[in-house]
Amino acid sequence: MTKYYYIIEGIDIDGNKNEDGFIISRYKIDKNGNKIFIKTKYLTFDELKLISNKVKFMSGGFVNNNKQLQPLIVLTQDQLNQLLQKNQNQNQQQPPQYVVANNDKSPSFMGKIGDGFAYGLGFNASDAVFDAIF
Amino acid sequence: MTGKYYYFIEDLDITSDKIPDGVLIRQCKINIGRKKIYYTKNNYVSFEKLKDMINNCYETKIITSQKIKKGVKHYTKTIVHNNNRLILMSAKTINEIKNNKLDFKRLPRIIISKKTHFNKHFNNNSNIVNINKLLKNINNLFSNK
Repeated sequence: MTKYYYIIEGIDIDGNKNEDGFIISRYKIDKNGNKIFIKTKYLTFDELKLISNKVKFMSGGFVNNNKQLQPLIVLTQDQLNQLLQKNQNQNQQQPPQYVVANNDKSPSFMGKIGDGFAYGLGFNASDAVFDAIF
Repeated sequence: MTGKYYYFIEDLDITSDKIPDGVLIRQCKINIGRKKIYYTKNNYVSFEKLKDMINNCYETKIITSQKIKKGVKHYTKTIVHNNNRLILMSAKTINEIKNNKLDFKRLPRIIISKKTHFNKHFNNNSNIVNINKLLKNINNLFSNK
């Protein structure tokens, strides 16, 4: 079964310089370690929140108490660029499956996911939920 | 990091009706020597806005013919004159670029998927899009953000 990876970024749709929702980019990794981008979907904040509620909010930040749920990892734009530049060959560690790009310009917006990482709450995701989005 | 901006353009459906409503433009800088892409900003452009941006950039195609000798036969080669470089690319090629597999020196500044819903606006029969003008419009869009 193909394993998919996701990058979640904030996006301003109406041009008012405030982010209105998220773009979720789905990719897989081929046998040579290349990232194959498949599709990008847009979700509003409410839609993502609804999905996140369905999945589960878990306390404890990135501690994963449930083996079926994978935590979202928050990366800065620089860290995200480093991740995208890496060739994920077999000798290297696999990238985190769910990544949130925390844009420097709107940290509070991205921080809203799961009531804010600053409060120690982790938003968790599962393959089934993200499969449904795509 | 200084240097020129490059743009990846892809369709985006924001109403969930499976029909693209506009495009997502990803702005990045490319370090040609180190073969690395640095993504900087994303911008959404609605179809209406995109149409306005492209309409400003149309130029009429100038086509001339040139006789070329090949063996004993002569045939005519049609040349389309423009100052543009190919911008419509397959998803496979775009992924190769993103994985640093292609020569960055020959990379166009604007890269759009061939399968874009808005293909006919970029690839009109009688007109061609002046990429330099389009690039200027996109640069302005990001500088106002």
